[in-house]
Amino acid sequence: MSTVIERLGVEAGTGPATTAPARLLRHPLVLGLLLPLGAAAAWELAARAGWIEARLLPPPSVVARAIVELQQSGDLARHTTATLARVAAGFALGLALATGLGALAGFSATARRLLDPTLQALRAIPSIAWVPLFVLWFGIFEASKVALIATGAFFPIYLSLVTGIQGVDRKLVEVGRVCQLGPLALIGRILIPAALPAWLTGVRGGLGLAWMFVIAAELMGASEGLGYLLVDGQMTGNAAQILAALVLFALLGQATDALLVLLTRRLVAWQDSFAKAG
Amino acid sequence: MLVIDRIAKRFANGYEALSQVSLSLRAGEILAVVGASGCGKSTLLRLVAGLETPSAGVILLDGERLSGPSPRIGVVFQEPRLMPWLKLVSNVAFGLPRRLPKAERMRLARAALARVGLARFEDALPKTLSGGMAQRAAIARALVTRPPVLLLDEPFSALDALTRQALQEELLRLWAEDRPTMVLVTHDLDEALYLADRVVVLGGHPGRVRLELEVSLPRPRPRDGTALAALRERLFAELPHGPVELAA
Repeated sequence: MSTVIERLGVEAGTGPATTAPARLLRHPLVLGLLLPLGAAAAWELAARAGWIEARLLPPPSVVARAIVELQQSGDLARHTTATLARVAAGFALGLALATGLGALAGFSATARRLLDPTLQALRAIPSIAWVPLFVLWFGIFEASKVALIATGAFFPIYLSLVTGIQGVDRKLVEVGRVCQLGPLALIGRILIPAALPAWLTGVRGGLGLAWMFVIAAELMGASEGLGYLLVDGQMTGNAAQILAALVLFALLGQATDALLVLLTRRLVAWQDSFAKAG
Repeated sequence: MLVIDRIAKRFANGYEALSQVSLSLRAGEILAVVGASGCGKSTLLRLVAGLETPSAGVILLDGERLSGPSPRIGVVFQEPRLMPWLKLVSNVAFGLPRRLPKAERMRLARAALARVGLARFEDALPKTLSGGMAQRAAIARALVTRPPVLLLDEPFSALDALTRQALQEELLRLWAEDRPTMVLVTHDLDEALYLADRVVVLGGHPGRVRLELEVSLPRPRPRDGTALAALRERLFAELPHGPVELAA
């Protein structure tokens, strides 16, 4: 017993004498994969042993086979591309509108008094509630879906940008005034860079909501897309296809978020924050 | 050179910070403003900096009435107030007008950094600097345009005693180069007596000038304070609070 404890102690230690597996375990990617892979293995074993109903909860091997089959038939590329295109279009539209209006409302008190009450009221409407109206306005095809995704992405970006600009340290703004900066230079050289981290947080949240709303948009009626795979799987009692779509959503959502973080990391490298120090 | 004429400041909430304050500075003079916290000494500096508008009275620079921040006045705040996203050299160049070509702005900013002994750190981000280094950079930013007037609002109060003394020496050395007119707000009587040609005590509610004292001792002055003890006593007597609170 005591030897086991000692060995565990060595592996968990941070000294130079750590073993290779211990070092591998401390790699952030490895540690992050530990939980999903472990759960998948347990699930697979439970399904093989007949402890769970494989028809309703197909094991990972069956889900993987479903994905491979989708890939071979060419459906995977078609559905993923459709969903990605909707997310991209809706997110881009929401991002552009939110950044424009958020900047306006952040910089100008007049614009804020004009815009903010209306936008706050609109925000209180659960975004799914827009679906009937958007369908009425834009039809049941792409335009209404993009509009819904844009609505979802809009609010976190708008809110964080307004809050970010208003939260810029007055002391830095005073430096700008002492240095003879005009209103435009003040915005470009102090307010925008200082509000950038808050804006990026909102952009990340907006991207997450864009993924959420693409599902809602595709559930309400689509002939292709990952959401269509979900509905189709439900209709045909194909649980493996539903799980395959869920896995793809997880992977794509994670990948786009990681890409966003990677692309914007340099913009906020100046921050003196806890996470980077650790 | 710099004339503050019967200035008053009443804030929007009705609080009256200053009343009937008049001061006149000679070119190249170092004036220290001391007083208990809340006496309006920082407000006075902010008025001269153009960050606040006086409720009454005028401020004249070489006979010209000031309204708003002037390119002829540099300001050093209590905190370094560096832009955290800019390298040190760009932070210093922040003080320069944009109409100068970029290469020229960078050249002047590097020269200003070198004057405060930070030439090696021009590419550093503010988060990597110590408090003393950051405040040196802030002084470089204020001096990069070589303004005829330099305002300092408790510039060394957040620093440890050794760094504070080093920066006081540095300030005198920089002052000796161009001899800008300086207004130094401080709550440290020894700092005021060590640096200034004249010390003004502000006090009361609203704040008024209670005492003006010439310090005619030649520089460099002794640090031990014996030569200035009599002046210190007189300043001290004008301050409303007990010694315990002042020492803090």
